[in-house]
Amino acid sequence: MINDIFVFDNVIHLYDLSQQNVRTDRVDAQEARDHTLAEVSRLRWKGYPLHDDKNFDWGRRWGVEDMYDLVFKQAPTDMAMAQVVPMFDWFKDWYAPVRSQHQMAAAYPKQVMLCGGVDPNYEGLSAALDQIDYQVHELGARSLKFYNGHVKVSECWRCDDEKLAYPLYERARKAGIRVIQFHKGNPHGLQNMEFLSPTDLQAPMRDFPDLDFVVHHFALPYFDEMVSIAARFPNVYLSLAGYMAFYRIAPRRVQHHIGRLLQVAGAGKLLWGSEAALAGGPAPYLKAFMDMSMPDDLRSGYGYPQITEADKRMILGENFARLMGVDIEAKKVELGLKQEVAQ
Amino acid sequence: MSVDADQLARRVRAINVLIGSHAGSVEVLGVSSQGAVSIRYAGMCTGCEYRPVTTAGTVEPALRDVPGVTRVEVVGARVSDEALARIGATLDQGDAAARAVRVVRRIEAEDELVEGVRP
Repeated sequence: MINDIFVFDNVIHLYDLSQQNVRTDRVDAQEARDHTLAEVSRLRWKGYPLHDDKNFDWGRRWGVEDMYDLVFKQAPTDMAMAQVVPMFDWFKDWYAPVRSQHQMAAAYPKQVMLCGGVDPNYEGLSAALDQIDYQVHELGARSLKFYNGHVKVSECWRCDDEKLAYPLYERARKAGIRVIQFHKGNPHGLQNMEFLSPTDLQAPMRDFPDLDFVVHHFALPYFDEMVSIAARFPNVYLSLAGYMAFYRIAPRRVQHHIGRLLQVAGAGKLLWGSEAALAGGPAPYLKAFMDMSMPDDLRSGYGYPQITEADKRMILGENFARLMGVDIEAKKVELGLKQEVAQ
Repeated sequence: MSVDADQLARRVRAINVLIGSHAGSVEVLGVSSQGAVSIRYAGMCTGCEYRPVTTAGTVEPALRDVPGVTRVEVVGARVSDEALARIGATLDQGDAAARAVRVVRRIEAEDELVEGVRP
């Protein structure tokens, strides 16, 4: 916790960027893996013990204890969701494998939830539907993650495709899932951008009003579209998903985006997400978020409201806890963060 | 002074007749013992950038006209104090708040007339 603020991280990934996981049948796989590692190394902030360790190999298959140390011991995180990244473009066992995320949730069931992931263009729709059943019923997945934009256009799919995508949502709903999540914007390399626009989520948001849709990365560079969607649709939430890592580089840009979202969509629509371990440990980003305020000129010139502690409390934990059915006060007692009060 | 629930509900119905012309509405989430009414927007109002103007010019004055209501709190998106001050200054010139109260009272009166002739 930060003071008494409960921190529920919407997204951590036990990714596998090890050399062994790189596909050898895709000519761009090695370069993509190396480029990713180099790019994210620039995002990680100094002052975090592991970030300063020159000998630490970030190109690894992340394990449970390393991740627990990074997220829960070295940062004030109380709960987190370990999310599969079903990007098969460059990695044999996907970018963030099902098994690794499941191991994390199984090792720390009080604190970690599993978000599974499937792709209808990996081994076909039927296999994806079977995987949903397996991941939910056998592995205990509480949510599902989708990546519809791929490097090859032939492997891309639209989220409003009633023949390919809707069966996924229907199967998820049937399995008891109520929260589904989408990577939008933030392309990995030379993908076609149109598949990463959030506009194809509007039809499923309308057609599946009983499902909540979490969209990651503010769909950048499709920010204006994302704001409009988040403001209009009651069942959409936006995950910060590593975005605070940019605060060191462009604080005004982050303030602009957060301010605009508070102004039009409201703090109730935003979810804290650290994107550990790719962006490093969450501690410096959590501190930056807690210290962040809306500058005078943005409040005056753009009408953005000041970000309050109540906003931060919602964003850091209350919103996602509500979506996932977590009683924060009961969870604090369960985790020994506070004493049970006798009735 | 406590807020009469029926009176508040009638007023919200009247407000919704007004802003229903834009396919929007407001919902009351709760009333505090100090008379603070907590509301949220629904329908097309949820995605509208002019919500703060609607709040200041229509919803807030219409609700504050209900005996016992001391404050109106809108849950969700909000603008800066500076923006609210600009909106307030503009609306004062147009007497929008007084007009909003007149209109919702008329809607309520018409509603009562209709109720009165129903068998």
